[in-house]
Amino acid sequence: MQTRSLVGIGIPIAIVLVVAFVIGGTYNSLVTLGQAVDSQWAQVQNVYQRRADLVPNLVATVKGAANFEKSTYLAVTEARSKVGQVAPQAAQNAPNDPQAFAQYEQAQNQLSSALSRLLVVVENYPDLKATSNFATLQAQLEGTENRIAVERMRYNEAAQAFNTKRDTIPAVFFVSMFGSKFNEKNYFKAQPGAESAPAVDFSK
Amino acid sequence: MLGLILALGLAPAAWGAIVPPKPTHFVTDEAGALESDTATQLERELREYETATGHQIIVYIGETTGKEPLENYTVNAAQSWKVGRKGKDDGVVLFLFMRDRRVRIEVGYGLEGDLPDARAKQIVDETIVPRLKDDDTDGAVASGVAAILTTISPHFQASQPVSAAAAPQSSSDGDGSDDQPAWFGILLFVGFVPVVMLVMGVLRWLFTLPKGLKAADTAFITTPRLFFSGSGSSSSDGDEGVGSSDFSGGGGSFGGGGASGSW
Repeated sequence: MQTRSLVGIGIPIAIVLVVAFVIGGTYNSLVTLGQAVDSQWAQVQNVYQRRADLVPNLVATVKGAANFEKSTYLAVTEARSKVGQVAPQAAQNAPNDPQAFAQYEQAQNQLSSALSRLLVVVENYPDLKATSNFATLQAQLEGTENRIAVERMRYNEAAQAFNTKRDTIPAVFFVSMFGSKFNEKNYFKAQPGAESAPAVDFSK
Repeated sequence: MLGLILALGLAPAAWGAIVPPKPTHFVTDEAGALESDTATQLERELREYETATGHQIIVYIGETTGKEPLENYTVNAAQSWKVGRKGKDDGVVLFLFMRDRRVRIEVGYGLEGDLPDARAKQIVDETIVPRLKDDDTDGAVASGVAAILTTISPHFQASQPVSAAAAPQSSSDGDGSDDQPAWFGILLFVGFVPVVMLVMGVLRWLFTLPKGLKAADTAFITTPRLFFSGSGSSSSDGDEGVGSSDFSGGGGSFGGGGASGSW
């Protein structure tokens, strides 16, 4: 009688403990993966900021060239200010917020294409291209675009690791219990054609 | 005509990056592009440079990056080779791809300030590419490496091969015999060497083990050579020969800094 009731109590307790351990372990790894996404997102923001910081100098340099097409550098300035208009709070939380993410990505892509148009136009100004000031800016911009590509790729990898954990057993059974804490992370999408961040080969 | 505009879109194919195996030397020439004298000389210089400054700078010459864009390929390779020290991220890799006729200097996070993109671009365009155009691969690599080294460490001078560890040991031995009876110096020396080796071994172990495990690279378990080559160099009995102190990545990280060019 006594042993029977002990077993009767023991089995449910054991089950509860096992479930608690599984949930606890998964919870912890979701938190860890989520933080990896956040820190990688910070890297993405860093490199985009780095590019934004190059713009004033770049615009000042091309402005100095005789008869430089005004519309191209105005487009860059405008796109640069749009990037600045994305609220810092929204930008910070973008991995979890599809709307903020889309807004951020769109603003950055617009700056990407404005910059690439500007660099194409610069090809028509050999004197400008030959100045060491512009050559330096070109190299910096090229390096920054490359960094952006690298950090975006790593961000996507981190987001993928999180989402995979989130959408598989056992996490998938209980993530909804935590409300928006474990929202699916957003990805950068490959952009078709002109929408995408350009890599400009300056050697040609 | 105009600059080539590529989509840097994030094709899922780029995620599972293909990377050449970890180099075990400072100079890896898969394409057979260098004279062996040049390779040996550079190997010695870069090993010395690491001993003197701690920065890991290596050269990798391959044939082609295949379908992968150069910059993707090189950053993934440098990152997975872990060139540079952990936390300092002070690695640089000079890549040449002979069939692609492309060159790239890949700079670790920690050296982006010392070797900014604009300077890297200058080295590529003004030092390396003109020599490659003249079919002077040896000159291109040697002067490119020299330019990288002087940019990062203006005071570094490559010297003749000298045993780095022998000097302090013999001087402490000498000090001991000046003030104390000879047996004291010997005793000190005899006691000192195992302690140093033990400490070095433990440090090595501490720093090597998690790195190896994290990378799922168990090479150091199956081939203890990697494991011992490091502690071997710290208590080394001379640095002759290319194989005496091989390159092994220290855990550095890369974020796409540097510059590319073609010839």
